[in-house]
Amino acid sequence: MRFPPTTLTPAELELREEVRAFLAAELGDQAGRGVGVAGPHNPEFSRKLAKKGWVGLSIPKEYGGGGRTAVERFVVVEELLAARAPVGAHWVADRQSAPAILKFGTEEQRRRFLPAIAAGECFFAIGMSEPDAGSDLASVRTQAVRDGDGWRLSGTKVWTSGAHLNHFFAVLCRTSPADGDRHQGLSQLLVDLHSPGLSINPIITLDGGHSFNEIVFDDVYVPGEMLLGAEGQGWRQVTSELAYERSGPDRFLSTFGLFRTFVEVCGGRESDSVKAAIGRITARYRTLHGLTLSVARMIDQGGAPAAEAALAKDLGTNFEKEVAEVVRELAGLPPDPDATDPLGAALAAAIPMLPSITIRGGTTEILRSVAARELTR
Amino acid sequence: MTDTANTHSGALGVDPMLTDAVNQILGDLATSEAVREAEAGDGFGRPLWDALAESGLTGVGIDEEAGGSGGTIADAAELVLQAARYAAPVPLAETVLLAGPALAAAGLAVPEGPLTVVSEPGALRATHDGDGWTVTGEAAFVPYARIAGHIVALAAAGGAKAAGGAKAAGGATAAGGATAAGGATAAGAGGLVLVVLPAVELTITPGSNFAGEPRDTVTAGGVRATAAAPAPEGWDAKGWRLRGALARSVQLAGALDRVLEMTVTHAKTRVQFGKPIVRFQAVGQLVAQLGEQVAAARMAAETGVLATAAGRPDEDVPIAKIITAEAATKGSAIAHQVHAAMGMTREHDLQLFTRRMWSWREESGGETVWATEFGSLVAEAGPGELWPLISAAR
Repeated sequence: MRFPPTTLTPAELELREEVRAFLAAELGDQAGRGVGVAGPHNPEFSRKLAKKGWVGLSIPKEYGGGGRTAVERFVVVEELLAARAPVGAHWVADRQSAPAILKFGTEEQRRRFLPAIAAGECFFAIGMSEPDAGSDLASVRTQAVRDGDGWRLSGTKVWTSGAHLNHFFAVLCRTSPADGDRHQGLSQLLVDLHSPGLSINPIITLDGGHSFNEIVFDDVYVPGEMLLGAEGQGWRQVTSELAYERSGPDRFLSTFGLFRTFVEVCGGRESDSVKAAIGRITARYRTLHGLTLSVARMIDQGGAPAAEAALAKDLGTNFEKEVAEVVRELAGLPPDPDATDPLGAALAAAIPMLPSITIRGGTTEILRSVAARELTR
Repeated sequence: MTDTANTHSGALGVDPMLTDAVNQILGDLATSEAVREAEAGDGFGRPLWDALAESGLTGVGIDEEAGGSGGTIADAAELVLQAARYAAPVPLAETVLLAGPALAAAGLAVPEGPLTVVSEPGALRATHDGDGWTVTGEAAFVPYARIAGHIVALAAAGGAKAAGGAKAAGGATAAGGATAAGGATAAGAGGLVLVVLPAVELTITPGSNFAGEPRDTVTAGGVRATAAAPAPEGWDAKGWRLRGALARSVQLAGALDRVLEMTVTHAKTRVQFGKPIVRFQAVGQLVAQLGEQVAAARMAAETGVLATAAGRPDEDVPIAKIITAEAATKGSAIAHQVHAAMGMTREHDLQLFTRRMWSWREESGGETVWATEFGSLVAEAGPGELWPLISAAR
């Protein structure tokens, strides 16, 4: 497994400067504050970004996208996340739904969804996990049965971030019995989150926030043309989607805002342990930047770096937690959501989300199994 | 050791033929028996060095005009990385990444034979006395001094003649001053002068690092430099320390890469409870974490090399040393855990690499030294510069 170091081309650097200038103007001194995997949900901001051509960047031009490379998308996304821009609305659509539709969708699906995603008008959620299917995704029980040209869907999905705010999601479901091989007979359906019979129930996270939802399908009708890819090929498709979900800069930057605040508040301290911590953490940020950029370059060169992505995500997400821990130890402040001091407030925002970082998008244990399989092949 | 050529190269843009050539020699002459033999003797693998020298590989990364074989610092780093994958008992890093290119940068001829350096700038003092430099002082922990033909140092310039001369030590006019071999009358930046010392005229007290590699104490009681020049551009005290840290970072990355390979092989072949231990998830997870550390170490070391080649080592080389030293700590712990009791023996090859890693991580500055220095720079630049710094292009 190799991660060749790569540099940005002049055109890529230029794009980065353009995004940086735009964000400085849009976000002002709010840039780079706050924590979280993606930014807050803000459709207006998503549309503004879309006007600049920075949503659906790697969707081909003929489908309304930017026709740019994986590295160019990486450059834009990294800037957005580092600045903690409110990208939550279009996040999933841009990161994994658009590539999946482009790769597996029919021409009609591409024409319908890709231009809308690129315009910041169509937002997606993820439809994989279920109450009894977490890491073991192949054990999904949500079932679709034929009804004329279409499907009737029944079952339950969970941990569906933003389902109450978004428009569609790609639902992994069983369309024929397993017959011994659980990976057979699974399919993906593109489902309108406003379909009759579909109910969305909030799941409140331990910090009191609402992002997760439970989604219950009570005999929901899905038109036949909403089957994504081939019937029975859902497992293969979802596996490929996960590579996109795992390889990005969102997997090492979720506590960057906390670190930035730490540098702002404590950077001037005459303390060697503070200086050493800042040095070590910055060194690891730059190394993770290098590793994830290398994965993006491999994708552009036609590679399928799924194991590399898993390895980088595991390294990155454990690092994100470590950053928060080091900052907490050195800051010596109680985490206080009502704090007027920025560091106490940032700690209060970070601490309750930390456990989720190494769970979402593949747990540490699953990722290490994927990486180990490749390393010991 | 087995011939491991070679799915391990390519990232530095080096001609694969170079990698193959050095692997061929290392596979023949840097066997684990040869490494152990060297450790039991004077620490030097002479047959290996001679073969590398005959192939011109000990001159890689050193300008041909200076007597080297040409090539880039990336070429030199690739050789050093591969040599570390075999725990090769030769001062290759000191010759092709430190002494050789420093002399070439100063316009001095590079002497034949193995070279080494005094890693601390200013540890020795040089006095100008009319037609040359006389060097005095003591330097500890000089790699392979006992077998090096010449020792290269960045000495602190002093003495009446130099200080009072037209081109005073440390003076602003010095940098562009005299360059001819042995004829330098001025020191470069920071009052430092690059000197070449003949080993035969030095008192050398043998010592060794944790891994049994020669780390000798060198005493110069008024030794005449055979050549001298003002510290050339990029080789002031900071540049000298950075280059030393880069060399050890590359070696750490190479050793870690080999340790991963050994650990994978062990986990696949060691049978317990009726199956290879790699089939136990707990072991597989350890292997994955070792893979992560190796990926980080190689990324950081290779980025450090490319940044140095681009003339901008100030950030990426401290990062390289911080990351490779951290990876050495975590990686060696994991490798030993997987190898269990077998890896704790002198008989097993694992210790050839882990003992080196435990030495190299402190040599030329450990992770805390560099993290404090680099962290001060980052803190000084402030939060607004933090992201541009992290995402900076080389």
